[in-house]
Amino acid sequence: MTEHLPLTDEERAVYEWQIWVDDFREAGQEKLKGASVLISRVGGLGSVVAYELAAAGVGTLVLAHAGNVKPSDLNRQLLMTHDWLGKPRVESAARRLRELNPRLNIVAVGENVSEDNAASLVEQVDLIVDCAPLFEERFAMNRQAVQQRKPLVECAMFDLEASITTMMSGKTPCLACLTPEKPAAWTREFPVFGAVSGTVGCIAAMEAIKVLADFGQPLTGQLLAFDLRDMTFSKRSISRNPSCSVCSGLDDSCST
Amino acid sequence: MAMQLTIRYETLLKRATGVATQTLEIAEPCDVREVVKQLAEEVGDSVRPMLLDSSGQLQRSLLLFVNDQQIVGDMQCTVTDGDDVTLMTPISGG
Repeated sequence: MTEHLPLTDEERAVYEWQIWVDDFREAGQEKLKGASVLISRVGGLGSVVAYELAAAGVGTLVLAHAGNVKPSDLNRQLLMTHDWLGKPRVESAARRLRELNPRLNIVAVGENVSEDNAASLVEQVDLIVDCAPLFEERFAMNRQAVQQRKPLVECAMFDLEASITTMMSGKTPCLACLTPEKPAAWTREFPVFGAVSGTVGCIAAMEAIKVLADFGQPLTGQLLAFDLRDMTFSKRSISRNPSCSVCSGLDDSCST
Repeated sequence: MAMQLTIRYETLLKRATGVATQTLEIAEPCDVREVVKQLAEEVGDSVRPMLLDSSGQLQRSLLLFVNDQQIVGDMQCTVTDGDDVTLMTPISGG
């Protein structure tokens, strides 16, 4: 799926420990170097996803996040810092990622994903990680991921709980199969610890790396749900909805 | 003899009900949607709208699993003694 780009000696030195992973090796690292990922919001979840993907050597990150850093961001949005309060979040994120990995190509977009920009943002990348809080923007991104046949890593958190799945257009459920409409009880702001968003963010980054470098078994057709309050982890089968308004027209097998 | 199900609440439903699990007795095997409607009678006015819409049908946003297999759309699923039913409200990032 992704282009192989040869590594420099500096890159071989930086990524040495992960190149030692048997089913990844230098060929996997070359795929990551040639890969591009859209991260929809670099908040509690997306900050950690972006940081791990930057550390792992993904070539290009497209970051979409509107607004300025607020005090209430700082318990979990690890790319935001106290000295950046009141300044654009996406610039704080880009600054911190460049400190970690100066080789990284960053496209910083000071907007959230919407119906207006979803198509052009998704066109630019090989894979999307959804870290957004609003169902409207998640649904807009899902439609584009399905139409453009791009893998979508879906992650979410609440309180000490979190869930994650990896969606492959036409092969696995899409977001609209899983959640056909916004739940009435959902609120824009909710209780959560940064360690919870960080945990699921790390898992999301690993899912993206596995898909981009084509190794391991991603969470396709499965929802990993966990509660860090009692450390319960469950892996559940999820199913395509034959009457899904977004993906039911695709002619791939409907089984997961 | 009555049959016993294990009901698991997750995310907003866990918070709203104040419990992670409960047992539920059913008289005979039935469709899992009937189980949710039975639970809706027990959970109180504040939680009921998270399970059922104003017409008494299951909320379309509700995530429903039987023995860790999701039940979607019009899929039929009869539950019986020892089955595990998980109810989850979708969550997001942020």
